[in-house]
Amino acid sequence: MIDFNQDLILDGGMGSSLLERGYIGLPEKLNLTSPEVIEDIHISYVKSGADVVYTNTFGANRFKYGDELDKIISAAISIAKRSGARYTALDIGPLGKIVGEGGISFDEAYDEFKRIILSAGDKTDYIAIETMTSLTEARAAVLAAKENSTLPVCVTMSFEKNLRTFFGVDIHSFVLTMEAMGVNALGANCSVGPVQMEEIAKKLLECASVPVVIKPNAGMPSVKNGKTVYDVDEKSFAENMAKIKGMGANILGGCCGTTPAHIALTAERTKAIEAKHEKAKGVWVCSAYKAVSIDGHTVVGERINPTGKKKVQAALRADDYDFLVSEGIKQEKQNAAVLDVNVGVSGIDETKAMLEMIKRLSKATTLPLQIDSSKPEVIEKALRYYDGVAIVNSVNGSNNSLCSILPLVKKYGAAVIGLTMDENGIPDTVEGRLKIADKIIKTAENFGIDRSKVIIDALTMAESSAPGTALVTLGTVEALTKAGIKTALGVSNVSFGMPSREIINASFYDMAKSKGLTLAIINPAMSMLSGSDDAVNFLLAKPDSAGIYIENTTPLSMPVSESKGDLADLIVTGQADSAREETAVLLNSLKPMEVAEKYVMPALNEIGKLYEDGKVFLPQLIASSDAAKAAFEVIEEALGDKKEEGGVKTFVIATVKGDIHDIGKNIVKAITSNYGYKVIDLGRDVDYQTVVEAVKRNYPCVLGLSALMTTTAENMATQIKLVKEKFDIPVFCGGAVLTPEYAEQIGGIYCKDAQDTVMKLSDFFARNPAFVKQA
Amino acid sequence: MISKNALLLFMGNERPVFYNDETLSKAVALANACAAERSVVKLADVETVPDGVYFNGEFFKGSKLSAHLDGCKRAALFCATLGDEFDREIERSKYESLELAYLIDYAGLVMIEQLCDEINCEIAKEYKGKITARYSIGFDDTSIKDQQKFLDLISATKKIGVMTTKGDMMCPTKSVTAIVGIYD
Repeated sequence: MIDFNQDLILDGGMGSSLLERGYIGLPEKLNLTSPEVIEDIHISYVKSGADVVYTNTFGANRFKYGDELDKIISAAISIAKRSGARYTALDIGPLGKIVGEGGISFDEAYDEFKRIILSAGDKTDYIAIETMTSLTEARAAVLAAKENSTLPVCVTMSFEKNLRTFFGVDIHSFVLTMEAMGVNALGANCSVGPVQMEEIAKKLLECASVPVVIKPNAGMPSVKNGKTVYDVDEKSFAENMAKIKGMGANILGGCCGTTPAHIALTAERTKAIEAKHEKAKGVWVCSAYKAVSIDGHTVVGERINPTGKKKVQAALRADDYDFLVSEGIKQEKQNAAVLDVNVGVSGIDETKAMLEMIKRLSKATTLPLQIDSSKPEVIEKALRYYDGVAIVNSVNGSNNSLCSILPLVKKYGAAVIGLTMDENGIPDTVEGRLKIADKIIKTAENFGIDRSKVIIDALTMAESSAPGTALVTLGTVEALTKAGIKTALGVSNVSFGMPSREIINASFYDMAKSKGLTLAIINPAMSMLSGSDDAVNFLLAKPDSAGIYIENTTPLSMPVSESKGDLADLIVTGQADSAREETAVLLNSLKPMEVAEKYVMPALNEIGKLYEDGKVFLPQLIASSDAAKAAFEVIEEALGDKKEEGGVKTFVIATVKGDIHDIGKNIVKAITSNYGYKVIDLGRDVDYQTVVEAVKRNYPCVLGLSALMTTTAENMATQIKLVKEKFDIPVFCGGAVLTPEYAEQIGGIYCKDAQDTVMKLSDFFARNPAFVKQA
Repeated sequence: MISKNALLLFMGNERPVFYNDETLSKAVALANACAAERSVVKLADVETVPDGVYFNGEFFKGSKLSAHLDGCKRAALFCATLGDEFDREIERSKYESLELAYLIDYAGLVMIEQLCDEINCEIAKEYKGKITARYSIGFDDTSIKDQQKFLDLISATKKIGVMTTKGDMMCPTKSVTAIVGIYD
């Protein structure tokens, strides 16, 4: 098996060599039509000193070559083998499709890569996945390689000058994610020349603990006399590569524009240089955009968890992911470093909800995620689809839990929390809990998981029900810390059953921190918990610290007691914060529903009329809607469980299959929700069947569909047909390209905008009382 | 870069409207911070036939495009984008305030148009003003389904990361492709 720790010289550009020989068109086709040309290019690189040649399969996939794919791959491998190179690598490039929303799914990408890998049949020395810009696609390719081949895997991405790929993936996250999946070497290729590559190589070497590969372009291309030429000659190229090897990268080659001359001089110039690479240390978790060290004290936001939170439970049952995601964003702003995601509530598909949350949180926040479930099937799917390195919360000391979950933790390179409990319950002594901790750590090590990735939860119990339990927890944290083991605590359980819980929580948190607590799973919004660092920074006069302190503490101060003005005016003029405060003031003298009826609804009607009359425009309409929403939140809080359940008018909305624009749909959602409709938002690019199922679940209801493009407006017609085959319900249609005529033609009802939708909904439900569900 | 005034002008500041100035400022700041303007321009040979145009031998259907490029032997084909981070900022902002997300979205429209105008100016300068107006795939009888073919022709996917979805939309969403005919 190839040893990536040795110095290796890879080949250079294939496309540029083909152009030089006058070949244009699909390069991989030449494996069949002109194999001698490809062989000649491989040989020219071998003669230049390349140890490795990449098979001419960069763009070989089913999308481009259909049924010819197997022949093309098989020919490419034979040709590469004939070149006499010491090693051959199966070259795999991007599929040329978006992997994820709007494009092909992760599973579809995985299947395509699997097909390529199975077709190659382990006949090369390793698999080289290169020029990736999407972490999702890179993960699909690596996973396909790991699950369908025994060959070593090397993966490189294309980073821009800003040290991120086009999709925003940062170098540290790429390295952590790939190492977690067990790749044997990694690095960067393409996009930039050798000069800009130096900084990329430096960052890669800082983050990586496996050997680093660097394959730059020969500078930037330009067209001279009708020919594409690159601006870095072989001498400059080799000089820069020598610098990069001196920094520690031991596997060097060339990408676009490089020629055998570039490779020959690089091989010669770098031969005597020793690549000293100091391997990166420490335990990190990451999203695609951000890496977080968990070697020191780390705040994990606990708010996305239905346990004891009726609002979260209701949101999960209603598929109201917007509310749950906004909880994540709030916690990011309140200095959480990691987000715990728990969607375990009865009556829902936990796997589906977990994947939906991962998808949405990965777009809306940059924080790494902690997968909070005890079910192996949920954890497996979550880890498979998560673009990053997660923490799994959790295993316990029972054999069943350890043996079902730890293999998954190992496979995906996650960190894991181990609860100090087992089949016999929770020990009430420090010794008892340490014994379970020891079992968890040893079992993890048997599965190949380093103990630095195991975090032991010493378990926080309610002090009110078992006095002395907090001391056992703290004693366990202290003993584990002394033994060099990471610890975790869900802090707030300690105060259960007591008044002014924040005070107890904050004190317990301080005590746990003093004992060395690593992961605090807490509500980061609690000023006494997260405010302290801000206060210290303020006192140390750090830049912007006063603003950060004020921002993080003000929402927790007492409500402002004086009036900010008429609530209706505040809503009409779109002042959300003031509207929220004024609603709280009004609730001192009025009943919640009175505030809604006297102020909020008239304000919405007024802004709606102003909009209709062309006196205000969409931004103001939205600002007012945001302000009304803020007021409603306070009103709903005041109503608590006493919410008056009148008739429920349900409006299911979605952006149609194939369309990823959703701002119009979101505006419709915001405004119709404020008018009291129960809006079920299915999101964007929604599968036909998902819409049909949602209508079935919520029947009787009105369906709203949005589409921006002419091509996706056609999908709207398909969707309406599918729904109307089963349900006799009205379908409201909107979007930039729609006309009333087209809407009618496809069986829908045209809505000009959000305000028009409100009026048409109101009219429909008034005329069809059977559609109003009674509570 | 976009200024508050440019955004207001686009939205029609002569109208009797009010704006949440703080949100507007925030939208402008976020839009400027997250935009990564990139573009790729390629000069292509043009051959017009009644029902379409060949660019470097690659056929694009569209009789009106053919008429638009009548008399041109060459064309500058380009793609410009604000990058993927711009889309993510809109996505993040919508959870904070739909108004903010909407304003950033608006700002993106202005910024991508500005970028296209700048590229257009460069082309006009280089060919001494002997150019046609900008034309995009999807106009008239050209098919939006040809968008990825166009992106491939100018290597926009490889060079600046612009791709199409299954529904033939460009990703990042704040991206524009254009054809500028050049006549002698």
